[in-house]
Amino acid sequence: MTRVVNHLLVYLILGVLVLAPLGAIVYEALQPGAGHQHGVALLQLGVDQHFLDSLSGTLGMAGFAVLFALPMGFALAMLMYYVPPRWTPFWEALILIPFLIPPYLTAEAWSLLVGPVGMIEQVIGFLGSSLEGFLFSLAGMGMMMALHLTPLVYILLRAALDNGNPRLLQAARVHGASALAAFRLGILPTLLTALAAAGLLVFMDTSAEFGVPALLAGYAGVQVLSTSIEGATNVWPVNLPMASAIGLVLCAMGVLVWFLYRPLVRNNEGQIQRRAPARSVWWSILPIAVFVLVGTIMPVLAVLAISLEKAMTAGLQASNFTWEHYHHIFSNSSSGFAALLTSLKISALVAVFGMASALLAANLVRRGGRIGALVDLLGTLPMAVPGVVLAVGMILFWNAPWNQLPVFGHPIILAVAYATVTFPFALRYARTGLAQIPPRLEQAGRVHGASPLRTALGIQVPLVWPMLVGGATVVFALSMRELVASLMLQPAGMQVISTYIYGNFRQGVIGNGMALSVIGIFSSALILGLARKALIRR
Amino acid sequence: MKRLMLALLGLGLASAAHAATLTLYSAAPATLARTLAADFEKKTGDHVEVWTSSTGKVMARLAAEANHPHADVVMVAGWSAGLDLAQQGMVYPYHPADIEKALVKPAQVSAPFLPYGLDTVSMVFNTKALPKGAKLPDSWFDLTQPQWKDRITAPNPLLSGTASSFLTAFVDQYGNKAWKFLSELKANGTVWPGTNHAALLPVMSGERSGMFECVGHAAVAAKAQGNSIVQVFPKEGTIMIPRPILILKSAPDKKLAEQFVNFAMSPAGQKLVAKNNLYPARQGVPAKPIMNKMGSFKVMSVNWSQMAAKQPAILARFKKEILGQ
Amino acid sequence: MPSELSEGLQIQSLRVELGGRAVLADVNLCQETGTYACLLGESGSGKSTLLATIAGLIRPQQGKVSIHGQVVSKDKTFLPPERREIGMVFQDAALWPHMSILDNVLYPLRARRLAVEKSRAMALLERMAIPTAAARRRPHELSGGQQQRVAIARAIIAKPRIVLLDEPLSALDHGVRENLREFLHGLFAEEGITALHVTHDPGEAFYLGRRVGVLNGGHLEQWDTPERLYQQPASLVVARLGGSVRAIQVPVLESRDKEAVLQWEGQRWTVPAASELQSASQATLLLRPSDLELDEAPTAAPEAQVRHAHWHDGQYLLTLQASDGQEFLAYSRQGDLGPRRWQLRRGQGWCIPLQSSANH
Repeated sequence: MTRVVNHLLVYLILGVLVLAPLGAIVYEALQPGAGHQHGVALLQLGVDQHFLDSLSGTLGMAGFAVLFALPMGFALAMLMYYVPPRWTPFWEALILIPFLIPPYLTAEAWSLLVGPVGMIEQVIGFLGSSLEGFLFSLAGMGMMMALHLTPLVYILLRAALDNGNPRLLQAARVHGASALAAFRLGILPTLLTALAAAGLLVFMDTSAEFGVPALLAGYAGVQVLSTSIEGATNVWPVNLPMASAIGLVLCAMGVLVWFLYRPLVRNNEGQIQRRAPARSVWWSILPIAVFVLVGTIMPVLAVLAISLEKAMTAGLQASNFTWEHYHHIFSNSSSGFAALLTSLKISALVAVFGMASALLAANLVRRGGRIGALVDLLGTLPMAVPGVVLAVGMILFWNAPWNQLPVFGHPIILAVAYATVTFPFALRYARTGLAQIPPRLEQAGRVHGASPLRTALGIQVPLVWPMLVGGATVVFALSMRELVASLMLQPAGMQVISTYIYGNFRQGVIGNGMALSVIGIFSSALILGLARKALIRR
Repeated sequence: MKRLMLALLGLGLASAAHAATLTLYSAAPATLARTLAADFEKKTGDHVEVWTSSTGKVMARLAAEANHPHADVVMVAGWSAGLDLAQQGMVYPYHPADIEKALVKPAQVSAPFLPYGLDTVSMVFNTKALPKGAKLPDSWFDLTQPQWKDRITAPNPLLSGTASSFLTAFVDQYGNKAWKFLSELKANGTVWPGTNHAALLPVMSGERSGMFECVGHAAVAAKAQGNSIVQVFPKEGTIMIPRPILILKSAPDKKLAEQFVNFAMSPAGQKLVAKNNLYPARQGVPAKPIMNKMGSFKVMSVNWSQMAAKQPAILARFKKEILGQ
Repeated sequence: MPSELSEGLQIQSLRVELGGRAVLADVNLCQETGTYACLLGESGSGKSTLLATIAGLIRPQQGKVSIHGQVVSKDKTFLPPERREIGMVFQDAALWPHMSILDNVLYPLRARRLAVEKSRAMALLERMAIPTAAARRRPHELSGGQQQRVAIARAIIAKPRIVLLDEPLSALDHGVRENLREFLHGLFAEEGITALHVTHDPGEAFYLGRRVGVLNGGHLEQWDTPERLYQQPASLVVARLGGSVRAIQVPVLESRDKEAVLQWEGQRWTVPAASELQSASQATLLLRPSDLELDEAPTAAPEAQVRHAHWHDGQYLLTLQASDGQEFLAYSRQGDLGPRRWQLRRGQGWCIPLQSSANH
């Protein structure tokens, strides 16, 4: 009985979160496009110059991101592994920070840094103008994504290096291999796999990205698929079949890359071998510091500075300093503060609901079999589905003439969207949590008289609790930063923090947006810290 | 089960939805829509939900929601966009004679709705970011000169209601000369990055020098903040664009919607319009002193109902030929 | 029937498949109420699966399981574990780390909505030699042996109809293991608890079990008293559990009621035999070292070559090779290599139907 309920709940959750929007997209893409007289929209793409331009834009941006992120991540990983600077954990934390800053914010910050009256030019008097041309190009967009994703490359490569068995290296050396040959034998194979996996991941994430091209592509004079989809959905005259068809192409790209990516990381779960700490070297700080400067310090300083300036073009002067933007955010009727509260509320709700659903699904996955594999596949599929495609699917599904549920136009739709986007992460944490409890602990509960529900609540949940809290914080953080679905789905009368920041930036009220960015980052970090402390005892 | 889940989800968001509310979709300056809503709430106790975006997105959303309409009152930026909605039969006619009588001259345009304010378009320049030795131009057509290569931005008329209105009037006036100018403008490195604000931002930050067909209130707001921004009204003249406020046929509570429109057109509402850098539609409410006095620049005459009919074809051509979409 | 009522556990033609592979096939056994029985088998023999099936953690494909006369599993009938009124002890104690020792022990009472008598739990813990002060502590603060005692307390507190023990001692150190073994023996005998204990250690099984079952490759080879397992093993596998043994393949001249007459090394031997032998022409003769006499062997006895000798338990254990090449073991006071005369002691040895497995 309980088991049947568990199954039905999981089917319902996955159906609503994943299958419904994707199904709606596929159905719509097979409708005739608005601008054409006959044939399905999907087939009309092949002769649509705009689509081909957007496709090459997306491929170019993603290609540049891979081109930049891989060498940067590789260099950082090698330096931190073989010649780490002093205070390694400190530098490692700094390397990882860019991943925590939403990419659209990094792009906004950099677009304020460059240019003839940008902050770089204001401070050092040169370089700003020449950087401008670079930022507003496909390469610049790729670079923004690379800054955001390099930490991910670093993590994957570090894991590969840490997983290498030092005994294999020693054995190779003892039997006559040179240091280089031993490296080629013992480390290079795993490293190459990790590089391939990281490249695919960067490609997938960048081609799905909306915020960065939405901010920069217009100035670069290029187009990408994600913004084309948004345009075809959100700008009069609307062409939903066209949006769905492009969405399907983008989605297919993501899924293809994802299927290539999955087997590469699956067998990467070896034991981490502790090796003798490497000798620290002073000069390795230099390249690491450059990355930290470009990826973290400069954008963060730019955001801080703009949030404290009256007029952007007046530059960094005492007379131009103001607390006004912060006053504005904290004033009673501020829509910024309301947006922050809404984001906090929805994200907290999604964190709780998402982890509960993920735990239910993880229980099915753990049971294995065909159903388990299917649940796993559907649960992790949103990884490969770009947010913009998901948003179009949700509009099609929840706004369909036959759909009488009052979800579209209600704040709940944002919760549903966030739950879908974050589900793979929630599922991964729930699965890791379950994998850590020996099945005997739950069997012991059943054998000694507890019903499945009682065993789940009394034994399973308390034991996976730390993982549930860990997953909930990740879901919370991802929900706080989600931009494109929020932009496309937010109902009248409400904003969330990401759309407020983005909207203010686009409306030229940059100071308020930046002030809310600062407040948002600090408050959510504070809330997460406190929540973790309160929820995980011991 | 689904309803139960929704109910549970709803608990956490209870504050977001109320029973008797008015929903406003607005492409007016965001602060105007919000302050109008807030003051109306204060006055009547009725709640107003506001969704603000650009005209193109408001129109798209209204179309997307045709099956499940959410909006009651709509404020867009271009008069022609309002006429378009009226043509589609979506507008509930509301233009009481006593309010129409009180309108300023350029706002007296016959339509099944009212103008809540007026705005212009102009060229805008950042005086700190001009090319070396460049002087401010005084004609729209000067922007194709080589000194402005890669220095100009423009709002996307598909998004901006004022830009689409201007584009239509401009093409109407100059015909093929206008299209030739636009393609030369494009060849000269001009970009159309999005809304007025998106186009103005690189000008404010100095990445570009100037902007074509910039909406007045955005330029004035940037000036008021202390940025080195100037507006240039070319000798050919600009257009004075009334901005419609209209009630949708699907609004369940027409009385409440009329109340809101009345409030927006009242002296109190019109003061908010003025505060947000638009020309008030009602006589007796002064515009901000920082704004160019009406009559101090040349205005082309426009036949709005004709223009509304021509606009879709002009926009389609622009989308294809200039934006390449 | 009265005998039915005294059956604590009855299993009939049980078949369990996991992942399409038969893990248990045609298992039959019957255990009396209040007795301690052991299941012996190597890893992968299916013994833990059998226990899990009895507990209701695995659903069998076929067969019947009844506990105290109540059918808990047969065809469509399948009682979930929580309704079988059983207790279970796992190899690694499986105490819940987020509960105190006392809460762990009280859990079965709470889960079954029985009266939660803390005093009884405390008394039980005291009997398990757990210090009273430890009751409020978390499981990880106790030693492995103590944890296992707590797990035993948890398994018996709700007066279950049967207690299943899955290798409860094998994760413990040698000394602790012997100590706990004695403790288990005393406790369960005193309380008259029906218990089924799974182990891979023959010593443990023979020490604890009134009856012992031997599982091999999913088959229950024998379900018998320890004495009969030693003296009359059903197979070579069973025989090996009782100590060193060698299997010799020999022709059968004649088989009677409980004896067989064999022809080997030019002599006729009359040896006790399993009734399954019937009129087969070949048989496997199971020989333990103590079945043979070397030092007092008459001169007419057959000769074999001593291939290996080592000092063992106060005498030599010799490995001999008969003239047909088959090897067997025997004790002797002398450890010289070379030819030795030997004979089979009267009434010793055990003859079973031919088994294909070779000597060692």
